[in-house]
Amino acid sequence: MRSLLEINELTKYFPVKTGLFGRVVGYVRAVDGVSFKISEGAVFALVGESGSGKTTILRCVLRLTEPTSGEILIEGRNVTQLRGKDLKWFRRNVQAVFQNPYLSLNPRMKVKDLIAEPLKTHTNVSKNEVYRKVAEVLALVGLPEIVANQYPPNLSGGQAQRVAIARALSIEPKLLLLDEPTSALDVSVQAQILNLLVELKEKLGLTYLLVTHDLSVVRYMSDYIAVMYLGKIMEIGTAEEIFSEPKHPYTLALLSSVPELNPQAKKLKKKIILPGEPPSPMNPPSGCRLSNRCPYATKECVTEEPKLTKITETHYVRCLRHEDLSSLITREA
Amino acid sequence: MSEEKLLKVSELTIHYHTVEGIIKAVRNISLEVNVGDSLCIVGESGSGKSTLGLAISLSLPKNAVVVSGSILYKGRDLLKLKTSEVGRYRGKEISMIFQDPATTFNPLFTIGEHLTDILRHHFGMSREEALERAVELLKMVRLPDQARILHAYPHELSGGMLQRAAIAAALSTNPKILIADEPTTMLDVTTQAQILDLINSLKRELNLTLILITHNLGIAGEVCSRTAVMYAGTLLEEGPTEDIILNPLHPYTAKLIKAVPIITKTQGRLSHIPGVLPDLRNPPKGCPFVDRCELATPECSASQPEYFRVGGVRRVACILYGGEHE
Repeated sequence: MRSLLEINELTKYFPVKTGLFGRVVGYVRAVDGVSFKISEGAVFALVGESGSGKTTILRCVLRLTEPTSGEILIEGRNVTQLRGKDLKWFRRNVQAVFQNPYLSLNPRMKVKDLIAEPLKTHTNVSKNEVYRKVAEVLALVGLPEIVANQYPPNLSGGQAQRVAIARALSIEPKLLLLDEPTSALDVSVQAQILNLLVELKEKLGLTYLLVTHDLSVVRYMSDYIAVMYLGKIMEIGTAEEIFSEPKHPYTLALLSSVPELNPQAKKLKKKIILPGEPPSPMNPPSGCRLSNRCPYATKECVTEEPKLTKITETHYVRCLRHEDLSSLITREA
Repeated sequence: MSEEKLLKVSELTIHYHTVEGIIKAVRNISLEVNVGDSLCIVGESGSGKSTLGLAISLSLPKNAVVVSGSILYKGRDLLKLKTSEVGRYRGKEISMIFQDPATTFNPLFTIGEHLTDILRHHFGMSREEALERAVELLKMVRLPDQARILHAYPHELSGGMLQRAAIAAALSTNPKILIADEPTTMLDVTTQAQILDLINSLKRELNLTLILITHNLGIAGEVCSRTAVMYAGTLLEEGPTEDIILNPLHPYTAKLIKAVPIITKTQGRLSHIPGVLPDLRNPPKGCPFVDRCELATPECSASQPEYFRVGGVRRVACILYGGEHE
């Protein structure tokens, strides 16, 4: 399968300014040399904690921030250089759904106008047609027609998120970016939205780039996963590889920090609790970025920056000790 | 069960008076908590779980009205305290920590000032004594570099560190009961694991009685031995956490558990709960879950179901389990 989205060596440094004249005293390396590909029809998840750079990548893909360097290719065209007509083509094919629908939907617009707006901008459907199309899209996301005349603040969280999805899908994009799409929702509503997203992907042949910190959501939806920490990909692979054979201590720590529902499974689970908290991305630790928190770190880890190492065709890990690690973990368990 | 209950909530009903009408947030809730218990109150938004926590910690907002019921703490009704007596209980016997540690602290004061203020107020300590004790407290919640943290303003600390400091502040008065309202919801997962670990060990070390309020059943399983499930202001079922997770009795609990994506295996579709929460200004007369329940019968909407005992240690408000009354 060809790749729909390809990201090569993407970096984004935010300057840190100080004083009256805005002297630049340093850079926050939010994204530091990230590369990955998403093939058509796949669900790719970026997982990480706050400060890992996952949202910055998504913002770069959407062209909400200009990357410092690197390439973002959609169907082979470099997004960062698109202008005019090409930019409009890009906007039509790449849409996004954000965490909080009450913030992403204009509270002063009726639902039907919110959904009609991209249709009016990107397609040449006639006025009468537009609202017929709106009704179609509302039905697609499972909302009753009466919602069309309501304002977003009057909707429940689940309904509002459905409207946001409807708006993004109304112009039939190829790539949908999902930024923590269910973090603001209750569990029972989260299940509805996740089911809807999976259904729509199959029905419409969509490709998703999912950004989230919630590993259970990732497990449910994704085909490929990149685990990020302080601006770098620590491990990347298929969902099966990441969940069944995690090779990086950070992935392992993330997996073990998810509260386990099943009390019997819990007893079997080996827990790694990382000490401390992620350091500031302004001055990340030398060598491996996890070195100051990793229970398995050696002297080498502090001095040498590990590279992404191939394990299988799809599975890569950024850890000097990944080969010893599996034996270390089983020994301690 | 003849031993004296530390906390006994009986038939508690709380309304909020708002411009949009009277919201019946908590309806007819009864609960008991023993010394050393850890009880988790699980529910989605609008279930009334936070209101219940606020009521027990004597921190209800001004527009909340306790319509009926009692909260007995060591036999004393907290709802009938004189204004002059409230300070002896609130923050002293019963402490609370909240979801967002950044709003727990006043941004204009250092962590040290917060802690010493509490200590001097409640124990009449001198400044030096209070500072000494504050350092101990920060050690207890495993914050390193206590001297620096005492002089730090809230914005200088990370979310996880602030939540630790908030726990230190809450425990500074040696409370008997700690109420934690979604203590890890704002935190990253690895930090969440640390804080839950800390709460678990403090519970053991200090023989704390813990009431944890959360929307996450997984957290209930990590921390609490007993769980109460709330929905639309009522308590639907209560029992040992493990039993509730493995073998939920109430149809709502069963659906809620199935709606949680599981990390250990790949799944087909998640089951979800159709419909929406009832309007709490005008809640249904019968079971609050009746409109969303597949097993509902006409009887369900007639009157609120009573609690039925199941297996001695569990109770559930669902007529499916009729027969053996509480």
